[in-house]
Amino acid sequence: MEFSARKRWIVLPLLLVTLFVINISLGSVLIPFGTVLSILTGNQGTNPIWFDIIWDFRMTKALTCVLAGASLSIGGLLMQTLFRNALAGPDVLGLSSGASLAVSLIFMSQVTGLQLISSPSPWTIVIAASIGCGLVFVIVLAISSRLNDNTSLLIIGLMIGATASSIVSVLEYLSKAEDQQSFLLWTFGSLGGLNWNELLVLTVALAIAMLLSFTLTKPLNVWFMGENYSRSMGVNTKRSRVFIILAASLLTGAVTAFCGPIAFVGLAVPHLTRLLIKTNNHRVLIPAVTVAGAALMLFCDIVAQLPGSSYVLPINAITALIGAPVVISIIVRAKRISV
Amino acid sequence: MNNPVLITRKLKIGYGEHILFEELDLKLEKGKLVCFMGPNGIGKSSLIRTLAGLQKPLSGKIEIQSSDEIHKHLSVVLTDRVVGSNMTTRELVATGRLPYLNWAAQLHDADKAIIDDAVEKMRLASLLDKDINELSDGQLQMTMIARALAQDTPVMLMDEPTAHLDLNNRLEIMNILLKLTRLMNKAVLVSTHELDLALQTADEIWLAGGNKNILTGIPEDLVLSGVFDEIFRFKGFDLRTGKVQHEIRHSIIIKVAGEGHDLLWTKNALERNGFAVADEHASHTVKIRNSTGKMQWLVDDTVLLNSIKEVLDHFAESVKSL
Repeated sequence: MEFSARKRWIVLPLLLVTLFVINISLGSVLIPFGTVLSILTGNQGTNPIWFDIIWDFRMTKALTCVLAGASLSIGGLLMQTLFRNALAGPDVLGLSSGASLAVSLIFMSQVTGLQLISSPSPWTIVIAASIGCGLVFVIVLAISSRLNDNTSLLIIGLMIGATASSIVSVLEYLSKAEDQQSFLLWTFGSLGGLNWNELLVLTVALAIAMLLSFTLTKPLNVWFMGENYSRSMGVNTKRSRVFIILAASLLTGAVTAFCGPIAFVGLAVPHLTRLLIKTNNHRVLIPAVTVAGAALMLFCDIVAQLPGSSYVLPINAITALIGAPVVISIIVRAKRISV
Repeated sequence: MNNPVLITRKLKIGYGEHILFEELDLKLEKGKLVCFMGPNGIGKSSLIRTLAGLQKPLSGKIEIQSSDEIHKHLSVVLTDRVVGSNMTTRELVATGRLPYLNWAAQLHDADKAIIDDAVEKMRLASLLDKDINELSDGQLQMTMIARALAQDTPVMLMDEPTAHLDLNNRLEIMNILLKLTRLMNKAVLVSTHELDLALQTADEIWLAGGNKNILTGIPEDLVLSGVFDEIFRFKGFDLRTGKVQHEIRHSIIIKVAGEGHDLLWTKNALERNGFAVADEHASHTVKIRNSTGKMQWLVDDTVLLNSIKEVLDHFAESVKSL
């Protein structure tokens, strides 16, 4: 039993490496596979432009996929465990909408006369998105502590999301076309265009949140039994709840800031992972979900590139195309839904 | 002589203005099974949660006779519904080791030995790799008790562990709990509203009455003092004889002669159907014959019948013809 579970583990890293290499070798410029490999090993090669394409465009994009996919998936796992709801995720609970509202305030604040900042920098967007995300999560959590009912909670999350979206609409209506456009492009989601500095921000956010998640293994493992049982086993549920919120907000906020509100990955990956590794042990689940999320995002990005063409589709369209069937299958397959 | 492991002093519990119990001076002792009884809604669950430290008392004290943290001294089985997927029986039992694990929640060999022991005591070996969603209510309850057992605490508090289970499961659970007190010297508190089981297994009864207090004592003393009748207000059940009272609907009195179970169940059938059974002033007789392994009932020394049903039918006919 334990052995087969360990054997299955190996599938994930292998998948990740394979998809990473495929992701890097595909793009609007055709570079022979052998050359890609030799450039990856540090070889300047025959064409210096190819070297730049691989290292400054494709490599940063592939790493963004890895970081964003991993972050969103851990975020999704944390929230599904926290709310004991299989359909919880950053986007479902209105977290992304909160981040969108905060970022739209940054982009379009000029019109309202507030002018929070003169030119949006990656750091200010990260901070704004994290704050927006965290605020929504705190609101959802405050309500959830009174309700104890998962369905109502999801509806409330959707309502908060709708409220945030409508405020964004008002801002859009009032703002200038060019501000609108930069915001609209942000909402499509994008995995390219990050430089090494911005990647570092994402990496730090992911590293802190992952570390935090690992220290939460014990509470996460018994969270499904409810507050009374958890506390009877010495878990400080209040403190753990705050840290889970903190980790999830950091993960979702950072990714949403740099890559836009990417849907479905956070929701779908934990379920896909559990199909492969049937466990509730978060000591296994957290690393597994991290790797699986990175792999799925690389795969989505490969599809978004439309191999063989120079068009790149918005990443959000692809993640939803892959995520929606997963969600439907979960509902159809499981007669009782649980995390 | 006695080893109290949990003592309450002038404990008052409830919610704000709403007081459930007050002036409680209770104690739990090692090696004793205590059944906590009382009508539904009187606050049994609230007291258990308060004793477990999950709910703050309104006033008073709960003294734990241990230097350990409370979650190494006291484990619970609650009525909270536990739903989890992708989890086996073994993994659920293993969560009981949580207070003893480091931050990474890694089980060591010593933990595994304790888990195995809990599994064996609750006879769950055949269910170990089963998904907990596939367990029956009784199996899940046994698993939750095994989980509490794996927590390895001297005190175990259980809220209605036999609720919603069939008679066989109820008996099994009570017997196992009794064994835990005898073999492992644990102090076990079980809330239940199943009088028959409690009276026959408990070392001590806590009886929640109407005056926000709890009466304590051994089952027999409490039965004879009549407090049960006051609190439960039985309808047609005589606690002192342990039987349901049947209304006598027919004028005939039947004398039954026989032995052991045969006699018991024949009398039971007749009384259940409204016939008076007595030795004196009997107008009819039933003699039970059980010689060659085949049972027969001889009614009024004339009619030989082959089942209790035939006996009942016979008397029903004779009553009608009166």
